[in-house]
Amino acid sequence: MGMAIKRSAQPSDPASGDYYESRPFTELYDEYFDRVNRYLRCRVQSTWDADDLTTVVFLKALEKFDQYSRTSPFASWIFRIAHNTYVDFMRKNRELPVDQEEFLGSEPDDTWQPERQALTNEEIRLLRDRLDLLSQDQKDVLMLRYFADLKISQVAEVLGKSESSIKMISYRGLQKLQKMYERGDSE
Amino acid sequence: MSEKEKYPQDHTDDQTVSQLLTHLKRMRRSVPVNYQLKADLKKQLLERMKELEAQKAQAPTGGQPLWKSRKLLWISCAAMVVALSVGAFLWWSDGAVTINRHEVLALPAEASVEQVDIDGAATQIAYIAQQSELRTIPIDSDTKPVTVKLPPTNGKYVALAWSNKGNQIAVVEQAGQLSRLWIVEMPTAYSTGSSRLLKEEEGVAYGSPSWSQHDDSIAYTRSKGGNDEIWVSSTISYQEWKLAEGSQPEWSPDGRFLAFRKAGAVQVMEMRTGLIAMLGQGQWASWRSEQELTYTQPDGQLMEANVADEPFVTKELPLRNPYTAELIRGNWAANGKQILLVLRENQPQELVISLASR
Repeated sequence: MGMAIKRSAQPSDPASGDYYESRPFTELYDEYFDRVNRYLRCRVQSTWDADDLTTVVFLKALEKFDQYSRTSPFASWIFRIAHNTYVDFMRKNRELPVDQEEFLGSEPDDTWQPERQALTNEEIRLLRDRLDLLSQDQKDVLMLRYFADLKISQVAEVLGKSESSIKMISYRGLQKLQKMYERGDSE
Repeated sequence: MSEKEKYPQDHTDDQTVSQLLTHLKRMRRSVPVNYQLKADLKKQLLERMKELEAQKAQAPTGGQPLWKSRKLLWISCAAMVVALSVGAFLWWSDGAVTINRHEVLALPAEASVEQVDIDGAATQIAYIAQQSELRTIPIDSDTKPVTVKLPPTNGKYVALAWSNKGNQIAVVEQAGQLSRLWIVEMPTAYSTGSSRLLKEEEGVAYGSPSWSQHDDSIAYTRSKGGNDEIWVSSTISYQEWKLAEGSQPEWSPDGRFLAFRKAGAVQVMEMRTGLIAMLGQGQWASWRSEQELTYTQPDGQLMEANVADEPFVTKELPLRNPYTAELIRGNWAANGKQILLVLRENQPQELVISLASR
């Protein structure tokens, strides 16, 4: 199993055409846990659920790690698992959109970053409400793009769409958000 | 992620979009990460990894996808079929002795089975023709046939044996009560060949000469008054001595053993200790290697034995012989792969010489 391989070299650049992810599972976990956890905390209402989903994602990833080809970015692979896990969760729970108060964390957590303070709760609530007004595709794309911090090509891989399609959805989603900002609405 | 990619070119100068993207970025950063979960989950994953490794060690293919398992199954089946085919082929071609060239030579029925021999390199066969000629038959294409006139005799030449180096042939002449052992130097590109008398004795019959490892002595059968003895004559000093009671001596390639026939059975003597072991009823022992030898049973069955085994074990060596002729003698070349077979044909009555290999 590849996870037993103890190599710590960074993967080669995907643009070079000979991309190869040689790092073991534990190193990839260390790198990607934060992004997956943040992404799921953004997408589901309960932080408890988000953390449970994060656990599920990495357990699934470990079981399927033999199937990861290593010639494509690990980010695309892990977020495809994360996104599918999220979609399954939503189907089963018919969850309501994230409540902003809970989303921003009423739980005591010493890992809050200072930047949080730069964005007022009101501003974030407003942004969140506006994101909820987007179509599901637009939400998926913008969430993966700006909350999971994936590249266009990686978002395309996660959602199984073409890059041009993702660019279009992203563009229209941002345009819609822009108009909401200009109008100042969040209904 | 590059800034160019992150912010579409058409909107970079748009203040609203810029503000929006800044908000998104800040929003992402503001989402807390559960580091306690990160540490706990890592422990859980490490334990699971150990379990998976253990499962994998117990059942190496258990974790394979179904299509891989099927593929492996097919590959295994195919490999098994190939292995069986190769095994059968090896059993057929390597396990048994198969005649490749039948009737290379035919000798009159009254001829001696000792009148023909194969050289150590398996390049040619020598035989006695017309009572007083030594002829060779090439086996490979690089060797040319040779005819050597033996010393004139009023008797006949009855036996011959190639030296290990292949440059000499020991020849036995029987002329009335007189028996002679000759050494014939075979002609080369630089010499015409010659004969020299090694030993002469009256009232005895010599036979079945066999060269020692370094061609410095010849063992032979000396028969007198119905008794068979094995004697050795040095080709250098002309010394001679009796070795054992028996006949048909055959040195092993390394000189450690001498196989011979006594009381109808093939026996092997270890030269260092003089210990003798009996292999079984038969005749005409021939060494295939330093430890393996074969001999012919009275019923024509080829037998093989390995003197490295304690005690000696003999077993049948299958001979794929589609012809009716019965095997009398098998004589291995030094390479241990080719064997000269002397067979007796009844219709018409003659000795048939064939080449076989294992």
